[in-house]
Amino acid sequence: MLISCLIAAAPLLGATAADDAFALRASHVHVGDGQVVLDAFVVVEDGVVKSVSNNAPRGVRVVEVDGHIAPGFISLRETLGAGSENSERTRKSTPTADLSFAFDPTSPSWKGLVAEGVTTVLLPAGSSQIAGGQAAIVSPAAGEVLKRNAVVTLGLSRSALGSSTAPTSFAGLYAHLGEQFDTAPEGSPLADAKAGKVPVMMRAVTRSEVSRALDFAAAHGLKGAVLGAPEADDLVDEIKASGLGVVFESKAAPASSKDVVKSALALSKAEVPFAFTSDAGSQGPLGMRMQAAACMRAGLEAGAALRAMTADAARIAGVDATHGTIATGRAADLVVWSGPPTDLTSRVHSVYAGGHLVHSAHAHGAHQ
Amino acid sequence: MRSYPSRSDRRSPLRKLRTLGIALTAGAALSAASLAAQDEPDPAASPDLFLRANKVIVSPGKSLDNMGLLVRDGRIVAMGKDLAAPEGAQTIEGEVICAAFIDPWSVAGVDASSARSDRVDTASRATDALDPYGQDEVLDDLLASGVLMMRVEIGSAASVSGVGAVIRADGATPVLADAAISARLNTPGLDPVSRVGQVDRLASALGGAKKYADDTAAFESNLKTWEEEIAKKETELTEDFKKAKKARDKKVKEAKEDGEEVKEKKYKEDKRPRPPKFDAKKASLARAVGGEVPMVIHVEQALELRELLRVTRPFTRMRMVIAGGRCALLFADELAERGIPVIVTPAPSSPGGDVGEMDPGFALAGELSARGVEVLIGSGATSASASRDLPLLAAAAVGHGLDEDAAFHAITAGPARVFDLQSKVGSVRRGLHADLLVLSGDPLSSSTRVLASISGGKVVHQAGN
Repeated sequence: MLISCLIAAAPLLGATAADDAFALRASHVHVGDGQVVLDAFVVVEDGVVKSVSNNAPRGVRVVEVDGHIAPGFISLRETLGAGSENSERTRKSTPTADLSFAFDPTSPSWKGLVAEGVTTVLLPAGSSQIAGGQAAIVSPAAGEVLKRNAVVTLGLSRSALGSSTAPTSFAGLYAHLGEQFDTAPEGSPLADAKAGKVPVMMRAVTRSEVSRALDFAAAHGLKGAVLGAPEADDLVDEIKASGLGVVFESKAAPASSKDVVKSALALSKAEVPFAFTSDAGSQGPLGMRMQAAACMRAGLEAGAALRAMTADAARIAGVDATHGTIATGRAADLVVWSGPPTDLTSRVHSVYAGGHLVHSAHAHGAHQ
Repeated sequence: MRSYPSRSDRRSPLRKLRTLGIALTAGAALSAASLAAQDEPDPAASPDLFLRANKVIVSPGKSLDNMGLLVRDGRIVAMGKDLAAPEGAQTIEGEVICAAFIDPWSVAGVDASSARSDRVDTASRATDALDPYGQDEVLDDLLASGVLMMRVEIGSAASVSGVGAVIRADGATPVLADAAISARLNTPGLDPVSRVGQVDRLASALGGAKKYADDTAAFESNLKTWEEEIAKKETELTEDFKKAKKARDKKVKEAKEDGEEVKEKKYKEDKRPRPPKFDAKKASLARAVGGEVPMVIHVEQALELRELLRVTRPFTRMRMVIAGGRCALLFADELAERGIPVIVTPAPSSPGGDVGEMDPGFALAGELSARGVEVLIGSGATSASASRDLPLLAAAAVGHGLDEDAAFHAITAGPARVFDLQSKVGSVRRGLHADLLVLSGDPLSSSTRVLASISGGKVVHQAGN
C-alpha cells in the first residue's frame, strides 16, 4: 500500500506547476478542528484545498495514501537559522521591526522540522526585548514568508529587564510599554494591536508575570496569547476571562514541562485555546510533538492535542482563514502519517506544503 | 551501613581479596558488607493484589488475552484466564498489563552533584549517592509515567565512574547494587589525538585490571599449593615426632656431657606467597574485565568507537555495552557480531550534535536494530527528570523505524537481560517480582494512560490519585 502511494506520488516530486490538481485519498482525514472524515478524498488545486469529501472527484489524479492525513503542524515559535537576527540587543523596543528579515530559508535545519510534519512557523522577536517587533509567519518547506507583521511580540518576563539599563523593574517595564502604546501613531503596529487588528504574543512566565500581562492586555484591549505561562493551571479563570490563548514553550527544563502538562489539561477542560512552540534549535525537531504527547500520556484527548498544533495555533496567530485546518480554500499543507498524527509511534510518510510534495520518507532513505 | 542486594555472592578470589583489602585499609568507604546477597523483595505485609486485563504482554511480542494475575509478597504467584480475585484482595483492572519500564541510562534517584561529579573512580558506588528524599518529586513523576526502575550511574564528568546500580523509582531502593561499571569517552571539544589518548588510557586501565585479576588468580593458586605443602609438612612432623624427640633428647644429653650447647636447627618454612597489593579501583574494574558485571561505555563519535572496538578485542570475557553511539551504525556489523548492545538516547536536542550530518537522529534505534544490534533506549542521564519521558522516547523510535516489539524490549526485557535481572524483572511470569504496569492501551501509544504502577508488589501509583 505504501509502495503504491510512493509510486503514485513520485511524479509529484518534480512537479512545480501550481495548477496541477490532484487528490489524496486516505482512510482518515483529520480536519484539524477535531473532526475526522473517514475514507475521504482531499482535492488540491492551485496549492489550496478545493474540497474534502467521501466522493471520488472526477478528472483529477488520485493518490492513494496508506494512513492518516492531517494539517501540517504550526509552531508558534521557531527561530531556526535566525541566529541573533530576531533580537535587537541595544534597544528594548523596536516595535516596527519586521521579523521576516530574520527568516533564512536556506538554513539546512528546516528540513528536519518539515520531516516531522511542521509546515508553518511563527518567527517572533527574542524575549529580551519588550516590544521586539512584528513576528512573521513563514513556510520553511516552501522557503516563503506567508504573512509579514502577523503578530506583535512583547517581552513581559524577567528576561526583558536589564541589570543596568532601563527598565530594570516591572514597574519601569510597564511604564515604558504603556507609554509606547499610548503614543503609538495611527497605523503603527502597536496601534493596530490596540485596535485589535493584529494579535499580540506576550511572553510571561511566572504567575505574577502572567497576571500583569493579562491586566495590561485588558487595559489596552489586546487580543492574542500569552507565551510561556507553564503554571497557567493556577490562572485558568483569569485567562479564560481575558479571551487570550496560551502558547506553551517546549522548554528544555523538564520540570517546567511537567507544569505544562498540568496546565494544558486544565486549559483544555476550560476550553481555552492553547498551542506549542517547537524551538527545534534547543529541543530538536520533535520537541513540539513530544510535549503534546507528554500531555496526552497524562490524559489530554488526542483531538485536543491535534487542535493545539493545528487549528488553535492558527487561530492564536490570526491565520485561521488560511491555515490550520483541511477545508475548502485553506492552504494545502498536508502531512500523511502512518497512524494517528499526534501519536509518537506514527511515522511521517509525506509532507505537502502549498500543494507541493516537500518531503517523502522513502525519498529520504528512512528505514522502512 | 545499609546492605543492598548485589550479584550472587560467588566466592571469587577477587571478592575475598576485596574484603581483605578493606580490612587492611580500615574504614575505607567501600562497603564490602553491602555485598551480602539479599535479593528478596520486601516481605510486604500488604494484602494480596489481583490484576486483570484484556491483554497481558508476557514478553516483547508475546501476549496472552484476558488474564488475571495474583501478586503476593512482592511476587507474581499465579496467572490464568480463570483466576479469580481472592477474598480481601485489592483488584485493579485495565486494558493491558505489562512489565514496568526500565531506564537503562539514568541519574534519577541519585544526588545531582554526585551525578555530575568528576571526583569518582572505578570503585565509587552509585548506591552511596542515592537521594530518595531530595528527589521525591521526580521519583513520583516516574511512578506516574511507568518508569519504575533505572540503571543509575554517577560521575558524568569523570572518565570512569564506578559501579552503577539498578534501583526502583519507589524510594530509590536498589534492586542490584553492582549493575555495571561505567566509563565515558565523550569529552566534547578535545582534539583527535587526545581523544585517541582517552581510549588508550581506558585500554591500559582495562589491561591493568586484567593483570591484577590474573595476578590475583595466580596468588590464589600459589597460596593453595603452599598451604597444601605446609599441611603435608606438618603431617610429616607429627608422624615423626617421637623419633625426632628421641633423637633430640639424645643430642641434648650428649651435649650436656660434653659441656657444649645445643644448636637448634631452625625450621625454615617456604616463603608464603604474597598477594598483589590491594587496589580497589583495579579490583572493581577487574570485575568488568572478567565479565562478572557489564561495562557501559559512553561513546558518540566514530573515532572513539572505532578505537574502542579495536582495543577491547582481547578482552573476550568483558561484556561491553555502548551508551549513546550516535555513530554506531558505522560499526553495526561488529557490534552485532560481538553481541554488544547499544543504549540509544533518541535525544530531542542538538540536531546534528557532535557528529553533525552523520547523526541519524531518531532513526538510529531502528536502523541499528535492523542491522542486528540489540537496542536499549535510555534517557541519557542528562537530568533526573529526563527518565520520565522514556516511554515517549521509545514511541518516537517507533515513529522513526524501530519495530514496536523491539522498542518495548528496549525499555523492559532488554535492560533486564543486559544487567542480569531477567530472572527477576522485565517480563510477566509467575515467580518474578511484581514490577508491573496496568495501562489503558498499548504501552507505547501516546494516548495510553498508566492506570496503575506496581513496584515490588506494591501499588505505588494509580491514575486519578
